[in-house]
Amino acid sequence: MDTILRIDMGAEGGPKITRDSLGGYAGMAGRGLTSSIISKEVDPLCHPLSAENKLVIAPGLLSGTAAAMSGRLSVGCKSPLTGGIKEANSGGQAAQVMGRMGYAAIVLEGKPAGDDLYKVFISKNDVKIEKDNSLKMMPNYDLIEKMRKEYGDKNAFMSIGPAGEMKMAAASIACTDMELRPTRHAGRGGVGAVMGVKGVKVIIFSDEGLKNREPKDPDKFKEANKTFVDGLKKHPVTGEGLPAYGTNILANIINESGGYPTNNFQKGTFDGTSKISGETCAELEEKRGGMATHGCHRGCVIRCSGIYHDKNGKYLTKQPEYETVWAHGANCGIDDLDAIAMMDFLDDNYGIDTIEMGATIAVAMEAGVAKFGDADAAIKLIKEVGKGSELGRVLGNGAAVTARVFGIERAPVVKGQAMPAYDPRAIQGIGVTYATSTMGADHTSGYAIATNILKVGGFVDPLKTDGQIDLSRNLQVATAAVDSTGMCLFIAFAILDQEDTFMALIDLLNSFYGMSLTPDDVTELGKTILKMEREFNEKAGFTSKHDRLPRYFKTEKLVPHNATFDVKDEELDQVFNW
Amino acid sequence: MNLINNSDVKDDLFQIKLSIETGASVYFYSLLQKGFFVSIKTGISLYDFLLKECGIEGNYITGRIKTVFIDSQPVDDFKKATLRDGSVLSLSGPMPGLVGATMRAGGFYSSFRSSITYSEKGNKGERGRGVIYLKLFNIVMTDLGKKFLGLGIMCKSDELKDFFAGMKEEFWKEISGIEIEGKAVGADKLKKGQFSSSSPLVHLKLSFK
Repeated sequence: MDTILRIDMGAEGGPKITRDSLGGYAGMAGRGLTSSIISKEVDPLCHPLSAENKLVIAPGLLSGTAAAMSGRLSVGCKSPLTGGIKEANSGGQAAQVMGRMGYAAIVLEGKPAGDDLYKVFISKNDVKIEKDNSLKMMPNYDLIEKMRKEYGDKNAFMSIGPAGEMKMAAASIACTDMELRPTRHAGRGGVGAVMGVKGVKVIIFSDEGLKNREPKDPDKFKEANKTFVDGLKKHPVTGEGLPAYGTNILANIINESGGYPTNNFQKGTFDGTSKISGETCAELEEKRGGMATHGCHRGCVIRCSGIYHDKNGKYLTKQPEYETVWAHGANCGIDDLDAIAMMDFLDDNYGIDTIEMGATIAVAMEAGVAKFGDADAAIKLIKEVGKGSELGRVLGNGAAVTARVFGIERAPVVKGQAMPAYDPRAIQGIGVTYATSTMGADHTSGYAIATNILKVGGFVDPLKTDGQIDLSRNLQVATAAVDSTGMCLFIAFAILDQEDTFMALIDLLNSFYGMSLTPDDVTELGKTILKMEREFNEKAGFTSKHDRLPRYFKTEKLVPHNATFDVKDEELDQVFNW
Repeated sequence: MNLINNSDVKDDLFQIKLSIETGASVYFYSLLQKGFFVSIKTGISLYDFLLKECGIEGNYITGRIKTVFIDSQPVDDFKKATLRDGSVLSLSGPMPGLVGATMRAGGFYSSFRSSITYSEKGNKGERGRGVIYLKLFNIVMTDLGKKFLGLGIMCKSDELKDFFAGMKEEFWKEISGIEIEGKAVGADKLKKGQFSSSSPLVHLKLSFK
């Protein structure tokens, strides 16, 4: 996995392909590589929709190997939504196939002169780029069905829907799952718009003739993988809770905490939560012949996803994630799982970030465009986005733009990106991460990993309020490192509790590459990545003033705790002071 | 939180008993999630309530019940947390995600939610009997659901009527016997909500085959 494939979509005479060795990027993968390339090769002052921006697609260090959980893909660029650096992460099959091909990254550069649309076919020995304007405005499901007929099923696909073609700032990039459905998305920050600017509608990764990448020490690798998998299976989160109920296992809990944002972050609890919980969804899926447990990529042993059928027992969408159910459910006052599942399908089909879309609909509801709780109206609003109507173009550019257009103060965004499904007034520490993350309001950028094992930043007293600053920093460092391995972030829970499972991850890396990484090296990797990202953002014009929550979170009390966000600005400014 | 009045909880509550197939406890998961009332000794610690009043093993309490809320506040120390008349108690397994880990009892990331963490205020209230509202979620729901249904749960009469009215034929096939106030009756009585209680609460008990 030592080749970077560059495709200049704006080259004179048509798209031009070059292959580079990793060179100065050696040792980087996943988020480490996307952020390295963007920070070195993209002018931070460029317009995100210009030819100067680049779209970097990179699997992780262990993608394409037999390591469990290694199928995550990073997609990086300057974000049209935030104006800062972006890494969006996705499951699906693309990372595994790219890894097996030996590509450390694919970089889309430039911008075609006209408005032609291209498909890019990549196989072991070949890259073909062809114009295909018959694909214009095709939604993802129809598109993939057509591509399967043309190219067969031994492929992984990445695509944009109409939202990406229309360069909407909430546009995602879809990656196909094991059943070749476009259900996994690099969702956040408008990465789909950048792919649209490059004129690329779909990338087809051929799996023909490919084998898993071979480790330097196969015996140690096999042993490490076994320990890793055993650790994941025995842990109650990764071995029971997530497989049984998916990420939406969180709905009831976050609701109980009073931090479940409801009706555009007006309240912290939602009366209809039990109707849309992970437990209820799992029961419904089983009854209708769907699946309550399903992996998004081969090699996943947690299998937190599922398959959702409609009332007639027909496939509707993948099991909606916690964030999606919240965004289209509680945050919009909607307690109808079938309606939420339909909205998930529409988001996937049009290629829209479900978090941003749900937050946007809620802002629109506060503006009176629809009523809170009106599921039919919410579905219609998403369809407006897919059509590209005037209203749809406003909504498709996210919650901040929608709030501005309709004169709404309460836009729950940081650096232009909508907050996910945890209210920072109830859970102050997540607010620190929302405010300071290089990605904008992001719940995954400061994930839990064994900081007590890493001893990142020294010992932190978890009972002290000011421990939140240190914790948030430590977690952001650790997450940046995990995002470079290609591993699914959900391994974090088993690693948090089980030291041998964490060491198994280090052993997987060491036995594959013939290295002698230590936990300290992992920490340094995370710090390096965050430093690059912070520097890019500074050059793009970001200051400490952007590391803040919207002001109303400091003044508006959230029921049931009557809490406001109390972390001081001076404390937020300490997060990156290592 | 006053979901009911203490005077509604009588010793002679309206009784519904069902004889049901073991696997059919899954149909009651929605009730367990939404919540039900349980009579308690007020001023009891959470740990003692689970151990002594509910008969849950100590290993299970410390090993599986990893996320607990009392009145929307995450609990860290089960032996110090006190249950009072009207408390709302939620029990869950360990949660995924950063915020899930944040909510964990005694978790490393608990500082992230320190402003809402349960703290014992000292006044344990009058010792006597009271009622709490209990919710069971995810793996705790599947592990302990049958136990609580077997011990008997108290539900609001109108909610129970809605529950039975919404059940499809496959549910009723799992039931081999129904008693209302000690008398055997047919399923129609429950399907059509043909039971009336003088109290807003009904005691529902399941006997598993």
